[in-house]
Amino acid sequence: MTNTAVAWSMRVVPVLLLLLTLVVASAAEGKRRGKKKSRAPRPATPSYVIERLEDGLTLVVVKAKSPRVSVRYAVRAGGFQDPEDKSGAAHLVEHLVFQGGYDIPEGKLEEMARQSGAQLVARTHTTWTSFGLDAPKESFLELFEPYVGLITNPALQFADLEREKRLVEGEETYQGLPALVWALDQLAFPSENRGRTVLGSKRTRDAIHAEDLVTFYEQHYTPANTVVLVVGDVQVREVRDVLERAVLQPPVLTPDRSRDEVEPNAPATAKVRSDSTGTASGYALGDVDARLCEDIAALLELRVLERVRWRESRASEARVRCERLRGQSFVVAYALAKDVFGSRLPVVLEKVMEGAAKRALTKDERRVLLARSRALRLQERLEPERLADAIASRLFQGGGSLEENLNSHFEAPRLDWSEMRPVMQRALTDKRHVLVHFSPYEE
Amino acid sequence: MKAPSSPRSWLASSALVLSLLLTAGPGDARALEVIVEEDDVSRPRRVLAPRAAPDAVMIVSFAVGSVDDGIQSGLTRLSQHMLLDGNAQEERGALRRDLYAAAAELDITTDVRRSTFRLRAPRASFDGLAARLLKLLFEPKLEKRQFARCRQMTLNDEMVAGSREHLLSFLAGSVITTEGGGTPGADYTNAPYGEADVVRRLSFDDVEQHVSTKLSPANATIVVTGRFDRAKLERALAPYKGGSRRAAERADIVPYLPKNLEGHTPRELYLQAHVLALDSAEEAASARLLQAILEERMRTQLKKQGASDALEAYVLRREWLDLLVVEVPVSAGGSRDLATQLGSALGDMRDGRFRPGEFERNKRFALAEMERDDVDSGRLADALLDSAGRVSWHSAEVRSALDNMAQAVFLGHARAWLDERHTVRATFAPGGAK
Repeated sequence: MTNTAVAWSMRVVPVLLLLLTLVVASAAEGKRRGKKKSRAPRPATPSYVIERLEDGLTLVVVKAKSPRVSVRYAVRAGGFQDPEDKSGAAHLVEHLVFQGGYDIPEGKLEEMARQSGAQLVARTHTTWTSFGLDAPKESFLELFEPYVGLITNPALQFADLEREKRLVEGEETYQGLPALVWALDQLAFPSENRGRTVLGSKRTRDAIHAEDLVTFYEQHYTPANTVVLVVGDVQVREVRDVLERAVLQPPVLTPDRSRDEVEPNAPATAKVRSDSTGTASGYALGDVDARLCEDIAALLELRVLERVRWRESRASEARVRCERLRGQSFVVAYALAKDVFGSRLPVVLEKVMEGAAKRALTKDERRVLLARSRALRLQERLEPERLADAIASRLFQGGGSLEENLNSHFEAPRLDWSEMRPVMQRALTDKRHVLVHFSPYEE
Repeated sequence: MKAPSSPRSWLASSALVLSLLLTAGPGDARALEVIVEEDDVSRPRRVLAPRAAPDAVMIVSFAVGSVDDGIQSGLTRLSQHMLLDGNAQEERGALRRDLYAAAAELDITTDVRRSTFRLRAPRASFDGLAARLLKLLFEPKLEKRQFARCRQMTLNDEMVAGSREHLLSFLAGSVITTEGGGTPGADYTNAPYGEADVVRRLSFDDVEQHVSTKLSPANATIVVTGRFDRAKLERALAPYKGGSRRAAERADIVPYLPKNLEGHTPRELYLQAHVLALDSAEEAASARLLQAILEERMRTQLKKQGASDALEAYVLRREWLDLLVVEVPVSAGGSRDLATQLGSALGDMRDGRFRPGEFERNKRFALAEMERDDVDSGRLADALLDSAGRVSWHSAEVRSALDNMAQAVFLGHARAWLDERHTVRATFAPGGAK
């Protein structure tokens, strides 16, 4: 066949196929007439796989069509597991991992990531520590293996601890929303953490020695205490193979992590002098499933925004979230303000939250919340980094099995008022209220 | 395309399909494609970058900022709030609610000589929301009864100390005066969000006057990226013209450098800024590469010394000034030695000394960053802001220049930019002078 004939047939064949499609579509058009214009696409629930490997490590793979892959290698240990009077240990371990392993010199992995257009990020939270890799699909596996090797076999004994202590001094302490979350937790569970922070203080960090960090690492960085979350267009088999090769920690029996439920310290109020104005107003919901907590938080957020942002301007920022603190569900309203009128925020938020059960969920509110949920889930599906962060924080905030947490993340809101109202009536009262208010006007 | 219901329309549709197949490229979104339309000075400039993306971003940027507030510090910021939330073109709260339902975001920024309205929305809701925003901005019906509320919003705004807007405002205010680098009547020391006591004295009439003269269609640039309906956008924009376009005047600050400054932020910060000239694709490519090399080299060096591991290098581009900024958060007292440490890293660069693999590795990094920008509607919109009327920061020409960049060409640009005489250094500390 000549080139011209090939080119012509390459154009004609698809045209003929398309014409055939049009004929079929034409035949079906009569059925489509009168149908409403299609709305925004509904996101299908992504498929996911959970595997427990032989060494105890848990692998979660969430399939997502994207040119990038995101990993969160998460260890169930954070600032709350720091040894007594050595606050900051978990965070220093996270830092020291990047000083290199026995096979990977310091900086090598960062160089490889940089030239591939990948990002490495690590973060220590109160109850977990995550090591993140966001990479183009083509270079993901090439980076994933040395990354896992580094995390599971760091040369801690040779690390320069004093250097990392100096670096940590320059890090930001909690500000804004994270500060409010931490403060609320301290107030609601005063005997649990006794004011310790993830960064620690100079005094507590000075008390930390290399042996403390090696002990912390050996105790907590075990496969049984680890979940590897991968979001993207990957083959489960390939990811599993890398983990089976690259995880260099010995398997350890899972420690018993069950503990007695602690009743929150409610009602409780703390008012703190600060440069800026911020309020966290939370209510302990008790034992409710994650989906219900999310639904209540969504409704309250809409009403809070209408009150403090859209109708009046009392706050520069406001949101309501369902938080899992110490295994219990709280619905918490957060608001930040700058002007002197921010001092009224606690009262305004209380009024909205505690009055919410008296006003039924309206059709319009339901429409807005369902539309928003659909749009957010669709966005997440198309951005693996964002989806990985959202799932990771849900998985490690405590409470529920992996499957329950994953399902509740992908589940559409129920927004069933008959289900929401009794919980709101019981929980959104002053008896279950925990309030933290920062303000320049407090004594 | 609607399915045909009769033989005649069937034939017409087939003809259309044929013509599309014979003329169409791989799709209507091509990598690195940017369309700039600025021929009619009475209409907004348009910078369009259609892409196959799940969302779209529109930035409406006016060439007006805090320098134009004069003694009415905060006037531009307040005007922006009035346009969005004190405007009878929309029922109160309706737009905010619809944005929320669509999981869309609408933010404003107020800069030294630029103020923006930035909308990001999923593609299904973008076109409708964009049209509504354009109507609010170019056909406002400001309502006096909403004035107090919008003024309260302005009072509640807090410019984060240490943010890029804050640093740019600080640098401009410290370096540029009417005697040195500025233009008469322009006050670079004005705070972009205004001073509270001044904002409280502003009136509705002040805002009306400011909006009608300064925030006009002719003085606007509209950047749209991602998946959007171009025909709908053009129809939405068609009615809007009028006002005057501000002349782009570069601020010539080099004669007044070098400078050492002190400022106030909640945590200690060291900043070094170098004046750039971005008048060609080759210079834009060199600046991208310089940013990448400096960031990697200095971050590694400071981390090894235990001084900081959060160093960031970025190019701050404005119609009136381009800077390469190195920003280093440090622990208490750490900034004292930084100037020396950074100086030696820059000295190596000026002398043309590269670490093994450094040049090629960072070239690949800079290219990868361009690719990332090109497929992310938000990043692309930010990269294209300040592209109208000058050499673009993001284009096929820049990519080609970067890909083909030779060390000698790069060093020629880098040496000029890293000249000590074109440098501003600033240290920020808690409790220092503002």
